[in-house]
This record gives sequence, C-alpha cells and structure tokens, in this order.
Amino acid sequence: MKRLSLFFLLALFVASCQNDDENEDPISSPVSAKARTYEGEFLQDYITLTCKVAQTTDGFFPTQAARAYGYIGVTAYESVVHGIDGSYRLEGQIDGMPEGSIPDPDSNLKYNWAIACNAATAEMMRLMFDLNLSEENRNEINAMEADNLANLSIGETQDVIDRSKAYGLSVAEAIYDASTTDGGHESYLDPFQLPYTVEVDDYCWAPTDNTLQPLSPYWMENRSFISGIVNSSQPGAHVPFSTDPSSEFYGQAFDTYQQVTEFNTDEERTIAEYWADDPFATCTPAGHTFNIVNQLLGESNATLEKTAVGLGMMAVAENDAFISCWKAKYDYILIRPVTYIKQYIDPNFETTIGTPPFPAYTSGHSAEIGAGVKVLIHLFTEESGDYTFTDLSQLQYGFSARTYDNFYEMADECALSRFYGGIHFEMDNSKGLDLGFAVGDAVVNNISWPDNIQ
Amino acid sequence: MRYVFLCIVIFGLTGCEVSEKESIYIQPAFEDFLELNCEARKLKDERFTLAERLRKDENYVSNPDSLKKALASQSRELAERIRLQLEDLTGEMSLDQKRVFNDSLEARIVKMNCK
Repeated sequence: MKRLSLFFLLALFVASCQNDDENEDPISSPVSAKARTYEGEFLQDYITLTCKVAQTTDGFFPTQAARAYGYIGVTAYESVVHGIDGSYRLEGQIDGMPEGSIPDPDSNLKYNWAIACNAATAEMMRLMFDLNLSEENRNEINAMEADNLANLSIGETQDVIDRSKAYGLSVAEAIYDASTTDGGHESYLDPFQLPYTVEVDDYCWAPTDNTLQPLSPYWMENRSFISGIVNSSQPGAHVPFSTDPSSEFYGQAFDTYQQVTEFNTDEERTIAEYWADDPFATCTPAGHTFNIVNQLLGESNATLEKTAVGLGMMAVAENDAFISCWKAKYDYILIRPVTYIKQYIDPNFETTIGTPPFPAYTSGHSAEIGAGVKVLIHLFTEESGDYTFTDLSQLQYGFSARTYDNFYEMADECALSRFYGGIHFEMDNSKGLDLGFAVGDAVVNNISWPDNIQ
Repeated sequence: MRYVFLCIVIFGLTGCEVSEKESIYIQPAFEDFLELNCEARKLKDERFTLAERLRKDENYVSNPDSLKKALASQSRELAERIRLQLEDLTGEMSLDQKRVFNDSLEARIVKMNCK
C-alpha cells in the first residue's frame, strides 16, 4: 500500500511538473515589451495596401493573390511571435519551414516587435510581387514602411531600432527562401502555367470566353502550409456527369438555368455582383476576405498581437484553401454550367456575371470563404458563428455595404452568389464550402496558436 | 435635489452626445462622401455593363483592354478617396453608430438615384 501511495505521489509530481512545462511560455522573449503593447493599425494598413498592389500588378489572379497574402500574413505573424505570451512559432508546424529555418532573436536583448513586423511585412510584400511590382507600388510600400518606422521608433534607442529591423528582415528573407520551393514561386509570370493540354470530353471544362486556357492547372502541386491538408480536405466526386434530362446532373444544371432566367430577384443579382469581386477592379476573393478580417480587427481595436495572429491564421487558411480547391478543379476538370446549358438546355443562355476561366468543381469562392469564416469564428466569436457586422470593404467600389449577424450566414451568401450568378452548380458551392470548412478547421485545430490574444 | 441635479447633468451630457453624433449627417464632409459614393456606383454599373457587353460580343469595342484598364484605374482612384473619407468619418464610431451611419448613407444614396 505504501509503495502504491508513493507511486501515486511520484506520478502526481511528474504530472504536475509536466503541466508546468506545458504552461510555460514556450518562446516569448523576457526583456522586450509584448506585442500586445503596440497598436495593430500599421499592420492592418499593409493589408489594405496589399489589396491595391494585388489589383494593379500583372499576373495576380485568385491563386497567385492567395499565395501572396499567405506569405505576407505568415511573415507578419512569425516576426512578432516572440513577443506573444504562450505563443508557438509556425516554424516547425507548417510544411516548408522546418525547425531552425527561421532565425531566432537573441533572448537576452531587447527588440521592438512592431519595428520588426514593419520591416518583415514590407519586405515580404516587395518580394511577393517582386518582378512585376510597379515603381509606384514599390514607392508606396517604401513610404508606408518609412512612416511606420518613424512613428514606431519614438522613444526607442537606435540600437533597438536597428536590431529589430534587422531581425524582421531576416525573418522575411528566411520565409521567402522557403517560398521559392513551394511550387508557386514567381507564378505571376506565368499564371496559366503553359503548356497545358486541355482535355476534350463531354464532361470537361471548355473555354467560356476568349481566354482559351484555364488558370493555374498545376496549382494543386504547390506545397500547402498544413501538412496533408490538400488530400484530407478533398470533397469526393461530384454528381455523375450525364446529359439525360432525368439525371441528377441535368437537374443541377437546370436549377442554375432556372435561377438565372426565372428566379433571380434584384437582391440576388446584387449578391452575385457583390461577391463576384468585380470585373477589372478586384483584389480577388482572398483579398475580399482579408479586407473583412482586417476591418474586424480594426473595429475591435486589435493590438499588434491579435492583428498578427489573425492575419497569420487567415494567411494559412486562404493559401491552403486555394491549393486544395484547385486540386479538385483539375482532378475533375468539370464543365461550367454555361457550357452545359447552352449545349443541352438553351443555346441562348447568358450568365448573370462572367464565368472565370477554370473548371467548375468546386467553387473557389466557397472554398476560400469556408476556410476564412472558421478563422473569423475563432478570432471573434463562439462556435455558433453569431457576430453582427457590416462588410464595408465593397462600399468603395460602388456597392451598398452588407450586414450579417452570423459568419456562416455570410459564407452561405458568398457561396450562393455563384449560383445566382449562373456560373456554378449547387454542388460546386456546397462541396466547396465543405472543403473550405475542413481547411479552416485544420488551421484552427492542427496548428498551435496563442490563446487569450488581445 | 442632488439627484435632480445629477439627472439634469446626465440628460444634458447624453443630449449633447446625441446631437453631436447626428450632426455628422449635415456636415459638408458627409455630403462630399455621398457624392463620391454616387460616382462609385455609376462606375460600378459601367464596369459590369462593359463586362456583360464584352461577354456577349467580344468585338463590342475595338480595344477592350484599354477601356477596361481606364475604368479600373478610375474606379481605384475613387475607391481610395472613399476609403480615406470613410475612415475619417467613421474611425471613432462604435459598431452601432457605424450601422446607423451606413443606414443613413444608404437611404440618402437611394434618394439620389445614382444612375
């Protein structure tokens, strides 16, 4: 009995020690002010600028833009992670960035994490758009970096400023080095990844306008941030292709046809245009979702800590959602509704909005918003997704702002918008959302992020 | 008596706050913002109309790319002005105030019939 009691006591002691270890702050630096002591606004401003740069830089289609936002967000997070209590760096947790690949700060020296983040984010922006970055955009990034540095340096010694800046730059360079091997490096120079032979068959995607090649057919081969997520989030096969009017596939096409030609209300047409992310003036679906998280971070007065975590999470979600979605698109190479409907239902059919040049299954918007809302829910609310907010990000492009009471409600609307637009079958959207939710859940649950962020 | 005085002070302060909040809707800055939004809606309609026409007839204009670029550039410049003005007007507002602002904006723009 005595021996047993001793054993239990020992076990209890070991367990309590272990618990202490787990609670111990894993990496944060003891001598520097915490990231939560800095405002997050300057980092949010970079995301606003990224939208403009993505809009105005050649070669940034939805896939390329999601990747650029991805690396910018990851860099911002990684540059301040040592200033966040109870945090875990992404290095060692995401693919392509093994332990030891990103420089450590000297834990005995003082850093200003905001200055480090400023240098890292600006540098990664320049690197992500690099060869196609216009002089005007480069100057804007440089000016923003210089203004921020001047503001953030007030009260700091030159020594801390220089060290923080150098550290931020070293983080950006290390992450950029990792990015060069992920399969998407400088993909903006060849977004259609030519040559690619378009398969010809009844069920296959065919050009829907004068863009004859589909976008990024090999994007699925890119390395995702989360190990194995591309395969584990796949949606499975779509409804079997058929031209038989009694088939389920024909039914899906007919539903899209009827929605556009008979059922669309003014409000539904507005929704289709709102989420279309606009002809010629878009910063892509990922940019829209980044604008939303950015707005919500601003409205909640998020510090640098919460802003960096929020953007880091969204970065992983958007990058990986696009890779996974593009795998489905090119595994199935499914025909777009407009092609099918014109051939088998009504040759005069016109969609509400333009059909983008890539296969239908699954919807990119549905996948990315599905992943995005899981991050938003984690950051701002409980599992129910209840959160009232007004998306102001499209106001500037001439849309009425839209108000939502729940993040899932917003995701459903975004997915449905593609149906109202006549450019997707219902299954593209529902399965796209499922794919996105799976990616978003993995971002939240498979990666260790800090708790109790402010 | 002291409570009456307290009530008057609280009422006075609250009253001032409300009128200050409401005053935004009669400021010239709000009127400017309305005009910019109206312009943005016209441009948005132009972008979608052009896209639709090009979908139906790709030879609708001789140089669609330059027309698209011009419209996009005009839209972006306007978007930046709207974004900055929106920040100025609503930066200090609570979420509820923003909602009221947005509703007022929408109601006024509808009346302006920005076609």
